[in-house]
Amino acid sequence: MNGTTARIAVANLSKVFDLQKRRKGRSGLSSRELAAMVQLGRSVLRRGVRVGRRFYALSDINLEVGSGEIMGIIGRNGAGKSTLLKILARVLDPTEGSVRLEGRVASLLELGAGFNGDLTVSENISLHIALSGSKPDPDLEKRILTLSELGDYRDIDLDDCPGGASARLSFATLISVNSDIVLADEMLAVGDTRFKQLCLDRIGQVRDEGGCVLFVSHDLRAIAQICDRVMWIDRGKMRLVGSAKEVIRAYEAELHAKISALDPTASDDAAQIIDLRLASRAGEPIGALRLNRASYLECVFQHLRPDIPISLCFELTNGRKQIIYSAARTIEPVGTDPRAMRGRLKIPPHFLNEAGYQARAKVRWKVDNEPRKEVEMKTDFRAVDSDASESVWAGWDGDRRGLVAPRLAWRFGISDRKRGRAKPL
Amino acid sequence: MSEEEVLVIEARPASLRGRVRAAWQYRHYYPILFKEITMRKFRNTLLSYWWLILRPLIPVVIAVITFTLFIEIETGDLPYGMFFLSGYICWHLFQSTVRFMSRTMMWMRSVMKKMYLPKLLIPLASIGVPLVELAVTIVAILVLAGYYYFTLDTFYISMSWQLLLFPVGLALSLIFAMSVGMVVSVIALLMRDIIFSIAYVMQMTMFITPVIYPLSSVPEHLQWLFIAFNPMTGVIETSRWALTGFGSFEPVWLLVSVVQISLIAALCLTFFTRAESYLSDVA
Repeated sequence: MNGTTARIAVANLSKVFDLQKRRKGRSGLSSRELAAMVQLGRSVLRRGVRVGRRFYALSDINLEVGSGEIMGIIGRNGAGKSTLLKILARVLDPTEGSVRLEGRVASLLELGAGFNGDLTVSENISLHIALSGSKPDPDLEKRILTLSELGDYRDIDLDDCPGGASARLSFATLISVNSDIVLADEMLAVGDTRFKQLCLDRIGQVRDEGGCVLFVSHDLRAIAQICDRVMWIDRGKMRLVGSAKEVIRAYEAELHAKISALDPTASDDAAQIIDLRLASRAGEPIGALRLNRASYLECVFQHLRPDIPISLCFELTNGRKQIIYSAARTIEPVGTDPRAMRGRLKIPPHFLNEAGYQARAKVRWKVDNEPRKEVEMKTDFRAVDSDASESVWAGWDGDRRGLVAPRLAWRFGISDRKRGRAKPL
Repeated sequence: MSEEEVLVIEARPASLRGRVRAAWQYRHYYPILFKEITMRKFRNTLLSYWWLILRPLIPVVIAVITFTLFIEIETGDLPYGMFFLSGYICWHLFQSTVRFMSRTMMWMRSVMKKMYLPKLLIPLASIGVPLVELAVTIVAILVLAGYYYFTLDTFYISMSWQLLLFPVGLALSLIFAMSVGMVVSVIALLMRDIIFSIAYVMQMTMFITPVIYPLSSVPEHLQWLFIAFNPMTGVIETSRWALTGFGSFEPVWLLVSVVQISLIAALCLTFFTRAESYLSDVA
């Protein structure tokens, strides 16, 4: 294999979003719907958008990923990592610049993406094989079935399969279909160790065959482990590209520097959120939450005007935008020196259910007679069930419903009417 | 890795040619989308495929009963059932396509968010249900013509070269409907209200289109209004004449419709082309 050809070449890539003005009304002239229509009209007439603000999600990104290379992308929340991946997967159109991809692309932007709950497992697999442009292939289908461990559910609707089936299916498909370029968001965060090993094997195989892998993760350890090179994106700009060790070190150093660089003159805000992330007990960022382990939501922020009391609020929302949990604490004013703060909320093991969630951190304050102000940051994460024996779903092969899944006490017994309660078996 | 596929993504203003090329490149998505969109309609319905037959036939039965038993409309020698159906075939094709297409973009929204999909394929893949309903209305008129043949001993469907104009009418209705439906489906993504209103709009516009009555029953000094502002007038009058010989063939009316529909189609395609990138940003 020729080791020098670039599989992915990104040149001067920029992406601009037109942010909408925040609208308050629910209907009528001030509604979000009408604002969206006005934007649509303007973009169709190519009048540019004056309604909102232009926001550079990515600006001037240049990147080359060669044959046999595993490239990681790191950066803080909202830095543009996922936007870059989406442009490479053609879900978003770039605003400026160009991308050249050489080879077949397989992408996984979201777990369970493109799978349909009303179709059976095998129909879903053939659908995906067809979408990837290949001919129907019974061998491939069999391989995906074995990999995802859904062999017994071949002719059952995906909706009626055990929880996590669509996630396993999308991974199995991603690592089975023939592709030269693999794009994945939080690829290693899901599944048990066996699954992780399969992913690593596949990554090794892609490397040996001269393909390339580009993946985004919050899990710096995993990135350091498998990536040859890493790109660090900061607020849409390329900060550093280099060997994994070097970039991760610089990234961590900067994060610490940023936390301690307190400059109250930089803005009028009483507080500024630096980072919000899902972390392990040791404080290391992790890519996904494991149901059987405690995880922490960590919000790092600067309290720039400690003479003003501020409140930190955490919110957990599910995929349907329902708030599952929220909590807040107020920090009383202490002295006048600005300080870096870390708010940590423990999510106990066996609390959330297997699903995708969004965490949101808000810092609020109020200066005398001015209106209340707040800053916020959000991050998406997944909760995954990695140990079946500890699951609240032990032995259950149906749909895993519920907003939360705490382990409540069970008691089984033979019903005994005289004693009025269950007799232990 | 025998064959190398090279894909270049460039930032450039959306062009119709680019969209068409992308749709062609991804034509293997078409059958999958077609199946998915067509089946989606019947999900969670009790009567499932029977709707394909019921939906076009219910209005036919209601109209025929109303306008033969209760209110009489002058249609000459032609029985009212034949008169109505011969115009209604095109109208139904038009309105069912627009109404069906208004939802399809929304259905595909979750797919669009997660994987690349040339959006032009979605409206193109949305014609399964309308085409089956068209077949149902055509069978209905054949059955009706057969019934009159045995009872009145007259075969009302014209058997000459003029029948060739009927497919032209169908094609015009379909092109017009797909153009309008394309725009409606995009708007429906941002403003769901349009899905509710389109049903009423379709019902109302049927009354200002010569479907239940002939254009000749409209006062002569008002007829030009129908022709000038409603592209379906020329289409329906022409296809009715083509099928049954009712009324007369006015080439100018057809020409006006062709010009109107081509202009509208061009506008709608431009709209769709330019809206595509905006949609992926907000979806």
